[in-house]
Amino acid sequence: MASEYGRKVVLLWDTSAILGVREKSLTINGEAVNVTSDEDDGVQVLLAEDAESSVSIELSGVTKDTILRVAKLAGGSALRKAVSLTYANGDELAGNFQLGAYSEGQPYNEAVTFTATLMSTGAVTYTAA
Amino acid sequence: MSGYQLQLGIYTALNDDTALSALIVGVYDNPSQAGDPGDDTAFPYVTISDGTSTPWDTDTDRGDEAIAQVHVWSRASNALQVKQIQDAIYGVLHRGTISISGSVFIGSDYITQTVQRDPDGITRHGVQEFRIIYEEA
Repeated sequence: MASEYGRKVVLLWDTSAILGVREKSLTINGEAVNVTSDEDDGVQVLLAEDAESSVSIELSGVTKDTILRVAKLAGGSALRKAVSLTYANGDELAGNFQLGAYSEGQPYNEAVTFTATLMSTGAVTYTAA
Repeated sequence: MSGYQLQLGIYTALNDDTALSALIVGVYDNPSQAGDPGDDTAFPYVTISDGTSTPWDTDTDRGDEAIAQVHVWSRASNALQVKQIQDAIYGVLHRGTISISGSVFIGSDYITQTVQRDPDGITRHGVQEFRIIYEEA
C-alpha cells in the first residue's frame, strides 16, 4: 500500500467523527504465554496463541466538541460504543471500544486540548478493502 | 488560511479603536516616505505588515497560528510616546477580538514588546508581537 497521511485515517465513535483530533495511535496488544522449561535449554518457547489480545486507540487534539467528555462523565453504557478506523485505501478496523482515561489541558493562553484512550472490548475485526 | 484577511482584520481592529487613533497619525502596511527625512509630521504611526504563520490544523480542519508584529514609529524625544501607543495596541489586541473574513477567530495573545532607537538616531521604534489563532469557518 502507499504511504498515507494520518489525517486520512478516519476515526468514528458511535458513527460520529470526533472533532479536533490531531493525533491518533493504534496499538494491537498481545500477551504471549511463555512455556519455556528446563528441557528447552534456555531458549524461550511461546504458545502460538496469545493469552489475551486487545486493541487500544489513543487520540489527542484540540477540544472542539464534548462527545468524549460527556461520555466519560456519564459513565455506564455511554462509555462503550462502536468504533471504526477507516484507512484511505478503504481498509477498516472495527469493534466495540470503551472510553478509558480522558484528560484535558487547559492552559491560560492556549486552546483546550484533550487526550483519550479507547480500549477494545470483544472482538475487533479488520476488513481489507 | 489567509494572511491577507488576517492583516485586514488587524488593520480594522487597530484603525477602528478611537483611543489608539487619538495617539497616532495612522496605521499602515507600507507608509509613504516623506520628501524631507527630517519632517516629523507623519509621526507617530503604526505598521502591521510583518509576521510569521504556522499550521494549526487538525485531522479535519485547517487553522493558522500567526505571529503578528506591530511596529510603532515615533520621533518623540523619549520612549514614552512609543510606550503609550503600545499600551493602546495592547488594549486592542491582547485577548481582544479580530474579525477575520472567512475564518473563525480563536484568540489573540500578547507575546513580547521592545522599544529601541533606530539607526537614524532620532526615530524611536517599538515592536510588539501577538499570537493570533484562527481556523477555517
